[in-house]
Parts: sequence; C-alpha cells; structure tokens
Amino acid sequence: MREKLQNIKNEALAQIISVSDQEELERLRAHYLGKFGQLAQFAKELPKLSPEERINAGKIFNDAKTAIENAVNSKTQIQNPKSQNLDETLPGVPVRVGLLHPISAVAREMNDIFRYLGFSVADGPEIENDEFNFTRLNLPLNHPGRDLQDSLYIKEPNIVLRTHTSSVESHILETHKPPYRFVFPGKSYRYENVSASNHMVFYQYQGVAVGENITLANLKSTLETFVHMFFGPERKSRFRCKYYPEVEPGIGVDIDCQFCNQKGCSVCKNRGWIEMLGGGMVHPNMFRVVGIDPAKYSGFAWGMGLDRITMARYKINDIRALFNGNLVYKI
Amino acid sequence: MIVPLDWLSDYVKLPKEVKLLTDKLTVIGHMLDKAKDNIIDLELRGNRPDLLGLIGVAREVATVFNQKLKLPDVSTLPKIDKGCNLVKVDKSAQDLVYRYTAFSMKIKIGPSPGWMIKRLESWGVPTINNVVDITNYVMIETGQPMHAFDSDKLIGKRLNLRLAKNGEKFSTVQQGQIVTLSSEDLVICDDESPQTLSLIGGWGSKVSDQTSEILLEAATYNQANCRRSSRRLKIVTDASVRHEKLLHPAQVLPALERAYYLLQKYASAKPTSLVSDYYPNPTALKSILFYSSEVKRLGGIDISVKTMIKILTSLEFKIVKSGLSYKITPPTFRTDIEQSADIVEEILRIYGYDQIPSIPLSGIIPQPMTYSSYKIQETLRDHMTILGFDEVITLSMINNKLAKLFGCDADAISLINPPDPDIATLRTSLIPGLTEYARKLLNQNISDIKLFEIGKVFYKQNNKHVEVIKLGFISTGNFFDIKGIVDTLGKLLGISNLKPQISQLDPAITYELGIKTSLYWVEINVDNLIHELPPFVNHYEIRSIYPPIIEDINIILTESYDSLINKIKKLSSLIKQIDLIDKYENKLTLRITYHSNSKQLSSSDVSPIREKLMSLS
Repeated sequence: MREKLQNIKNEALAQIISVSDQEELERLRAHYLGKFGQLAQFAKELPKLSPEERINAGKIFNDAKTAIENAVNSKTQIQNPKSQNLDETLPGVPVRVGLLHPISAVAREMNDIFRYLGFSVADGPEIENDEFNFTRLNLPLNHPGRDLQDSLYIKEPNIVLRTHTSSVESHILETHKPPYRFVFPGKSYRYENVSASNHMVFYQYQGVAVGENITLANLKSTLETFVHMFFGPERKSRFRCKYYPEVEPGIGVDIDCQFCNQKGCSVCKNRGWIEMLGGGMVHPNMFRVVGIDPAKYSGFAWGMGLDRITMARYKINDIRALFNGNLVYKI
Repeated sequence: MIVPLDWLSDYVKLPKEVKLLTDKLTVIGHMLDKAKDNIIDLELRGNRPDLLGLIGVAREVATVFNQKLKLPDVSTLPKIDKGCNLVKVDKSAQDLVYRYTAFSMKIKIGPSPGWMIKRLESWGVPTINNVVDITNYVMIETGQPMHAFDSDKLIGKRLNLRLAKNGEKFSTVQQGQIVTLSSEDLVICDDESPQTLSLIGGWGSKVSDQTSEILLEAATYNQANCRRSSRRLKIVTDASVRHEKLLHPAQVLPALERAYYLLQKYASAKPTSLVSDYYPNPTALKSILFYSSEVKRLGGIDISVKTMIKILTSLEFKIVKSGLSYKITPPTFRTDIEQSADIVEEILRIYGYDQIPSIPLSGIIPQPMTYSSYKIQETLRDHMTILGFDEVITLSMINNKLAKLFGCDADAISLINPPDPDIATLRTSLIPGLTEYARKLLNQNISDIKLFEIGKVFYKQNNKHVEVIKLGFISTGNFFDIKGIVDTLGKLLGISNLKPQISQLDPAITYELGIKTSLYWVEINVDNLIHELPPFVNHYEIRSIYPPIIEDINIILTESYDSLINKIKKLSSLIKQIDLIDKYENKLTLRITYHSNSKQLSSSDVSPIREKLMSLS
C-alpha cells in the first residue's frame, strides 16, 4: 500500500515538473486529483483496511495528496503568469498603512537635510514667559517689535503661548555651550481669527548655529543647500537685507517664483520672488544676556513657516484642513 | 511707504529704469510692495523711521547709485524763547514728551499751489488749505509729523501737555468723531480743554478758511505710549504711525525750518512769537567703537576699509580713526544704529548681500545631541504608522463644551484673550480632540478609523502651568484589537510593561456627540516613557538548527490569563513560546513551542513538562 502510494506520488511529481503547457497540466491534475483520478480510486480502498493500517495509510495518503496539489499549484503559477481567466486590472487586496501628518512629514524631510549639515533637533515649552518669548530675543518691553505679534495670554501680563519657536532659541542659548547647531520645528500661537489663510495655531521651523568664526557666508551656504535639497537643484534664491530684532545683520531669503518663471504674477505680487524665510547673525545682545562674549562667538539663526511650506508642498490651500479632519489621507 | 517717483526725484537723480531702482531698494532692505504708475510702495521697516520720509528714501537711493542728495530749501526759525512761554508740560506727562517745539505766525489762508495739490493727491492725502497741506507735505518729506492750531481758538494762546482724565472726551479733526480718553493718554490742551492728541488733531482749534494766525508745532513723544494710545483709541493716522517709531528729537528743527520756508512762500507767514522749545534732556550723540575686521568676522566677505568708509560717509555717518579702531557717530535720524553689528549691516547691505560668498560651515561638527523628547516622538511616529495608524494634529485648545463633556475642565488652563470665546480651554488630554476628529470621519462614512496624535497637553498643578507630551490613539474595533496594538507597540519600543489603560469611549459622551460606533482609546505619557525607553532593543535572533516540538494542549482557565502564562513560563526554560489558539468560555487551547538551542528535543524531554503543565488547571 505504502509503496504503491509512494510510486503514484513520485510519478505524478515527475510528470508535473516536466509539463510544459497548460492543457497538459490540467490533464495531469484531473488524472491524479480529479473526482475519478488515481488518488480518489485509492481513497475508496482505505475503509477496507484494518484500523491500525488505516491510520498509517491515511497519513501517507494525505502527504501524497498535498505534495501533488502543491506541485500543480506552483506549476500553474510559474507556467502561467498570465492566467487567461484573471482580470489583472482588478484591484489588489487593500493594505492598511499609517501616514504621517504632512507637517511631520515635511519637518522630517527638513531634519534629514539639516542633520546632514551637522544639526541636531531641539524642542521647548509651548507655554512661555515674557522673558524667554520676548526679552531674551532682544525685544524689551516697549520694543515696537512686540506689536508684530498679538499674543494669546495664559496669564497677563507675562505668561503666553509662545508666539514663535524663537523661544526655543532663547533656551538653547541659555543651556548649551558653543559650538552647537540646532533646528527646532514646532507649534506657535497667536491671536488670530481663524480663516483659510490664518490660524491661531501655526508651525514654524527654525535653526541656530553658534561657534567661532561663523559668518553670513556660512548661513548663505547652509540655506542654499537646503533650498537645493528641498525644493530642487534648479531653484534660485535671493538674499536681501531685512530687519528682525533678534538678528544683526538681518537677512530675508526669497526663492524664484515658479508660477510665473519670475515674470511676475499674483502669487509673487509681481516680484518674481517668493518670500521664504528670515534670519541673520544672532544679535550680540542675545549673547550678552547669557554671558557669551559676542566679540569671540558668532552665530546665525533663521526661521520659516513650516505650515506654509507644507501647504505649498502638498497643495493644501486651507490652513484649517491641517487640523480639522478635512484632510484626506490617500493611502 | 508710498513713494511718488517724480517727487522723489526732487532730492536725488533716479536711474532710468524703475525696476533697477526697486530691485536695489529691495535688496538693501526696503522691499517693494507694489509699483503702479510711477508710484512705488515700499514695505515699512520697524526700525527705520527715517524711511517714513521721502528724504530718507532719497538718501538710500543716493548711496546705492552714487548720487548726490539734494536737501530742500529751509528758512531760519525765530530765536528761542528761554521762558518757553507757549509750551508747558505737566509733571505727570514728562516721561511722555521728549521735545515739543512751537511758535506762532500770521498767515494768509488760501489754496495750495497746484504742484503741491498734485503731489499730495498722488500720495493719498486729501488737500485742505495751504497751511494744513504744508504740514502734511513736510511730514511726507521729512517723516516728522507736525500740527498747526488756529491761535485764536486756543484759550490762553498757549499749550499745556498733561495726562487725560479718565473718561475725558475729545473731538478729533474728523467731523463727528468723539473719543473717550483714559488717564494713560497724553493730551495737548489750551487753558480749558484738550486740543490735540499725539495721534490726531482736534476739531476745536483746527485751521479753517477764517484762520489768520497759527501756532505751529513739531514734537517727539514716548513711542510706546503713542502706540498704546493708538491701539486703545483705535486711531491710526500718518502721524501716529510715525510717532510710534523711534524718531530722534533732533529731527524736529529741520522739519519746522522746512515748513516755515513753505509757509513764508505760500501763506505769507510772519512770525508773531519766539520759538518755545521744550527739550529738557537733549539726546546726546553716541559714538560706536568699530573694528573694520568685524565685517569679515560676521559677513564672511573681504571689503576694503576705503569702501567701508565711502559707504558710511555717504549714509552721513561721521568717522574718526582711533588707533586700530574707528569711532563712528551715526546721524541723528538713524536711531536704529546702536552697536558695531549694526554698522556691519550698513556696510554689507550697501555693498550688496549678493556679493557675500557661499561657504559651508567648517570646524568641528558638534556632537549630535537631538533632544530625547524629540527623538521619542519620532520613534513613536514610526511605530504608530507601522501599526497602521494615521497621524493627525488637532488644536491645543478645545471647545469649552467638549472640555466639560470629557470632565477635563477642573485643572484646565484657560486663555485670557481667546479669539473665539467658545474655544478657550487648553486641552488636558488628546482624547477629546481625537474623538471629535474621529466623529468627523465617521460622519463621512469612514468605518475603519485608526488615528494617533503626539502633542502637548496642559494643566494647572500647585498653581503652576504644566505641559506634558502625550501619545493618544483612537480606533474602531474591539478591546483585543487595541490590546494587540499596545502589545506590539511595547515590543517595538522594548518596554515589556507598557500596559496603558485601554478604554472604550464613555457611552454618555458618544451619545452626546451622536457617535454610533464603538471607539477605543489609549493615552500614554510620553515624558514618562522617555525614562523607560531602553537605549537598544534587539528584535532579532538566529534560528536554531534543532527543530522545535510544537503541541497544542487544552487547559481550563481558573485565574487570569496573564498569571497562567507566567506560571507556564516558569515551568521550564524549554518553553519558548505560548500562543492562544482558541478559547471557548474558560477552555483554552494553547500552542506550546518547546525549543532548545543546544540539542534535538525528544518526547522524553517534553513529556515531564507537559505533565506539570496539565496539572496547572
């Protein structure tokens, strides 16, 4: 019995392996596995055996059947990658994957670029006091710069939700000894009536590098590298003088407007350039507050709108959609 | 700042091409906002009040294009009255007024000359009469606001500057506009009542067709106070915009001299008083120690000392060599220049930011020191997305009703000035926001919901404001689906005792929010997790060359599954894995994998263990 089954199995496998067309394979399948095939004939014999024999034979029988089935199946797949009956345009079985929030995805892209330039990632508190949010950023109490941002207050007059991630820079200056290089993406808050283009919650991406002999030329290289890696090697950037209380000298960086190829359009207000970020050399007053000699050390800092860049990257034209459930995750 | 180009060309020769002009202005710090019909509009810089006058703009143009600045004609003022009879400043207001200079003159009211009307209209100010127009014209030229009173309407014919009384009323020059003042507003009064504010003139003493004598003034006030008054009274004028900036008191005189010249020429002005010049603490000129090497140290570019001096001289900085350094005195109108770095910016911006080379950061690359609080968030983002969860971000402040519904309003922090009073509570948990988000998706007929958020929550503790990073997730499915997520997350993190509470959303809440699907949620304190996170997790081992023995056993559960499994694990080190295959009431089928790395197991190794195992239930 055992021998007979073994022979059928070996014979079947040999034939199936060497078969070269679909019809022949189908004929072999019917011959061995079909309703009136060899194995079916065999199965009829099983009840006639003694109980002990039956257990043993059943096991061998099953082994043989599985082996032949597997051989036919795998041959079918190899033999016939394009099955005649299969509409391969039918969708595959959906796979559930999780996606990052677009802001996290863009922050990650940026972190990767700046890590490559030797930066680490920092973060800091979202509830801030007046000192770290304003004073240490060279914005004393009566500075007109404080008008630029209308704060959300937790406790008047000096506890706010941070109005920019520059407050993280205040903490970095306070805690770290140069040289250091940090980037810090994060949430910021301001008094703003929510609309498609403005929100009381927004995201910034800032960075700072402090050490000896750090210059505007280094800032230029760092940001140009960023622009080329993030926006593409063909993109152009322009550096111009700009005022921010926390830097001196200050810079504004624009990138070429791709909507009009710099010919001038409504997106770039006919300038041919789109404002992208602001920065400059860390203001000497900020070093003095933390006891660092501004004649010995220098550093640069910059900041940009993480949410704006994210919206441009993913073509999201309503800032509210970043937070309110109106964003479709397409996978 | 609106700059009509033909007006600007009074003071400096302009390049033929407007674009060349505006490009250059943009790069040196005055970005073009828009340009139309020979009028350009430049973005205001917070620290450059001199650019709120056309002469200031012209000076920048002259410097960049190597042209001469032509200052307009002026007349010498009458002598200073030592008694300062026209102006008194009350003690209470002395911190708010730095300089107040005034004198009176007879004038002939009439229309302004046509060219002046045309220019003022091109700038966007309505023309009234020659006197008022001249004060506006000079403000636009110099950036210094000034005001003319009708002397005959001033009771006592002199001015007293004081703080307003709380609730005091004032009628502005805008017909019908009456504002209520507070004790923080500065008022400029005659012997009886307020006549002007620093922000705006008054109705009572405005110059009209009947006016025959005026009192002309120019002043410098405390900027912060002007700004606050402007915000409080909601009055924004061309004068208020300028007074809010750090105008230098020295600018008062050239402005008055210019106005006096125009008043003589176009309104037949004849002085009737000396000049009352209230200026108790004249601002001293400051000189700044400057090393030319600073330009290279901060700017990363070599510029010759000769070029530096040429640039600074053209911007009217005074330079005196002093040993190896220079003593540099900025002109009074450049109130933004305070230290060496400011001078570096002046040189660089005029020389051209585009000339600065691009040089990669050099020197030792600092040790990587990404904060653990950031790193763990990124790790969690990786794990949660692997587990099939989408990341969302919800607002840090939640709807007050939602806060109450979730019972998280007791220790919650409220915003003092929320833009929307309904959304004024800082979240103490991520779950209300996630629930609201999930509800929105359910309403879109999305049935398979798996969301997570990583973010700060906020609450009060011992009178302090505390913020904690949390990971929250919410999911459809059943308890064990979520438990599976938590278990795998624990394995990925290498934290075996990650056992957060898994909760079904409270039926009272789901009812209130109209959610008909069962939702489970978990919230984990990420700040605590940082300390539990092992520095390294090994998810891998080599497969043994000896095959395992696998068998299914049936067992009756008489305790918790957890404690049963712990007991089984302790029976033998050969038990490598226990899987739950089936469960019916308290009958379990467990698949036990016996395995050794050192030898081939036989039934004689396994059967004693199996016997102990069976005796457990």
